[in-house]
Amino acid sequence: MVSQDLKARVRCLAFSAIFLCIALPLGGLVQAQGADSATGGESAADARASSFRAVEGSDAEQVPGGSLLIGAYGVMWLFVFGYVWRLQKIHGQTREDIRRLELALAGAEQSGKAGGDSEGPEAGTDEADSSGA
Amino acid sequence: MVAFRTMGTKSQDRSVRLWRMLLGLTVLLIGGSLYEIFFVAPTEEQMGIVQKIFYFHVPSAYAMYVGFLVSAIGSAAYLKTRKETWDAIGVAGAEVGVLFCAMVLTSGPLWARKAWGVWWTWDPRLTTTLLAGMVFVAYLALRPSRGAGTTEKRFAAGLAILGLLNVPIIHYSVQRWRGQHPTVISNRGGGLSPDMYPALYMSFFAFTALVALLIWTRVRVEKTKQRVGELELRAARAGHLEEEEW
Repeated sequence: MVSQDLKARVRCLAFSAIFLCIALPLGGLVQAQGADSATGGESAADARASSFRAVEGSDAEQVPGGSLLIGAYGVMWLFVFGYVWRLQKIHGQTREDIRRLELALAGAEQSGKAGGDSEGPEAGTDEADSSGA
Repeated sequence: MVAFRTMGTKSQDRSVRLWRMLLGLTVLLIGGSLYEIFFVAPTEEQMGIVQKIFYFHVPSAYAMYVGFLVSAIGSAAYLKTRKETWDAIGVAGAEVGVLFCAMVLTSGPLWARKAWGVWWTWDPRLTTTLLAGMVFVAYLALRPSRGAGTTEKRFAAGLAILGLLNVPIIHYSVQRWRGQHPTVISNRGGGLSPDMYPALYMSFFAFTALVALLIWTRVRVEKTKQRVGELELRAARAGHLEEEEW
């Protein structure tokens, strides 16, 4: 079961690696071709030195620095708070699982004792490890 | 047994106190760095206000390196000792490293749009950073959210060590392959205006505290998950757990 799951994951990883190997050079190639077609095979500096070309579309490009700055800081803090929220969710869920399992084990041990089972409960082997990082 | 419990509680209390102190310090440092960035550091002459992305972009990259390094150290130690604590450290480092890598790869293009006129270019540093991020995303994808087996853990640990090899390549890619990426704070660069350094240093301190806090918290969460796994195993061995229930 585990090995099948691992096989599926390794296959997924292999596909991702193949995709990456194809996508990266293709991306570079497309960009290089785009640059070549824009400048006719010359470098951008050569193109600027040898000819003047009319701009297509709007005649001036205004990139709003303030919006980009706010966007960058906003997205970064969104990532941090999203991650903290996710950690909190996982922690809450695992604590609930621990509570349920401990209750189930304690109940089972009690019923074992009541049934005259002479075998004692497993000594708290996890006590030392539960103190956290 | 009782002594163990007492020691565990005391160490837990100390751990919680330290964690809260680190949280307070992180909040203070982040507040201080935001003040330095937006109220003290001057606006850059050529790029204008968008240059202020730099003060969080560069420390994010540094925090990413720290995360990946911690992951590789945890993974190497896990492969050697097979102790679950090291595995938890490996996962925590990888996850936090990927988080900061996402920050770098988001803030960078927003700056590049203004500075270079494009969102993305296949510059050596950008490409190698993307690759490092993908290696550690693969590390995380290899591990199921619940109950990773020993084989998966070992395979993932190997991948983390392999991923770390990419980190020096990211760092020296600008020097080796001459990309477009700025090199203002390296030996090749012209440096920053002296008024800009306090904001940068403050951000570095803030991100050091933040990465430590996040890794620590993630390790604790992972150890709690490992405890669930142990309890499930005990319950299953004792025959008190329905398999389909979990």
